[in-house]
Amino acid sequence: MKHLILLSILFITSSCQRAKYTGETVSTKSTSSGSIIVKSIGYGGTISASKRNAMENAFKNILTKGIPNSNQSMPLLSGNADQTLKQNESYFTSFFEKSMVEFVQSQKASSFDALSRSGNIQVEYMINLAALRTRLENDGIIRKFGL
Amino acid sequence: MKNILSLLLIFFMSINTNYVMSQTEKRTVQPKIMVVPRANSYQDLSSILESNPNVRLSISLIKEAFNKRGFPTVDFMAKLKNNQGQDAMEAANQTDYKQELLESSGADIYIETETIIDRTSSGNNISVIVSAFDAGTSMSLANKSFQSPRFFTESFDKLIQTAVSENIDDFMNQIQKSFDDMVLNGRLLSMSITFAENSENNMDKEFDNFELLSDKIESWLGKNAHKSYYHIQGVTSNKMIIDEIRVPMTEEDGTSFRTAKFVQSFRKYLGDLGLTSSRDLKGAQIFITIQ
Repeated sequence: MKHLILLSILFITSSCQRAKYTGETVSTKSTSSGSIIVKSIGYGGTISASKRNAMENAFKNILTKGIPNSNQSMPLLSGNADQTLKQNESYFTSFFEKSMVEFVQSQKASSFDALSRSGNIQVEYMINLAALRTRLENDGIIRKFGL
Repeated sequence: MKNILSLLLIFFMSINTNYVMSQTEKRTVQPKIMVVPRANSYQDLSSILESNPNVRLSISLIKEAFNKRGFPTVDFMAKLKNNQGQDAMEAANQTDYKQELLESSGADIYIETETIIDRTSSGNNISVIVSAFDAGTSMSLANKSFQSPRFFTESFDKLIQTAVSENIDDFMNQIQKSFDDMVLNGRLLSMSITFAENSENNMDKEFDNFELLSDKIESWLGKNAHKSYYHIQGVTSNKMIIDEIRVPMTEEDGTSFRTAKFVQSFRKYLGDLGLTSSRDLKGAQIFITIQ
């Protein structure tokens, strides 16, 4: 019996996904200028960890890849977006830890599935794109609109 | 006490200077934008505006979106009213008139707008087609078609509002990408070099080492264009057209690049070759006439 419990715990633990960066962010609804609605997949052993991963993935994809069929089909970070992310590593570490949540206007999560291999949670976010852009402009990460 | 006060004063002044310097380093120049209706050479601009409320609304909404981002815009309709009359009569056709209007407005970028209505049995929709151009060179900066959703409605104003609102950010992003490219790779000028009617010179004039005048000019362009980027559209014995010359946005000392200074430098080079010349500047277009 003991072995069975141990094996079950081991099985559940190994099935739980670790947080990871993926491009699984899609535009779900058209929005008016200044905001974007995306659905993002998150991985993690707990609800909060997988939600956090989903949010980070959503922001990373908006910043570095852009979201096709949306108001922001191009990366928000201009030039070589991945390079900008690396060059400002400490800024973005702090951004993903503390600041990104300030730009989330609403979120709607699906039920948590600890055993799913195709993501543990799906979250739909409404993100204040205009405010995010202004913050990045004011912090000198992206250029202000103009020459 | 006096010393402490002076030290504090110096400290605060240095903070202020640093702040001003960092502001200067990151400053962006905001070019003036004018949103205009798309017109063929035979179409009258004012009648397009008067007869098509959808175009008027599109222009107004696009202008509003730029203003919201803190971008200065030139009001096309006001400009049109001011310029109507004499200028319109003098211009050979509407394309010339539009060009004159752009030049007199001082706009750096113009955005052409047109609307296309599509009526089907499954509902109506409207497309707002927008293209942004550099006013000086007519270089395309961004293009996009704003599609509205399809509804059983004749309220095209609502459809236009939805189409513009849902797509304008992406269009602005495209323009910003072109701006970023300009900052990195320089902005474009064009130059046309011709000879005066009774000139004894031409592009085949030979210098040392069998070098022709056209070769000499090309060497100068190679040295003076930003990152040596230039493109010669064509050379004949009496004309040379350089349709693209990249020049930096700013001088080495941080001041804005002046086209006049670039032309002066080129004319000085021609002078060193024993050639006198005159010049005309029209926005980003340079016209050189060699005597």
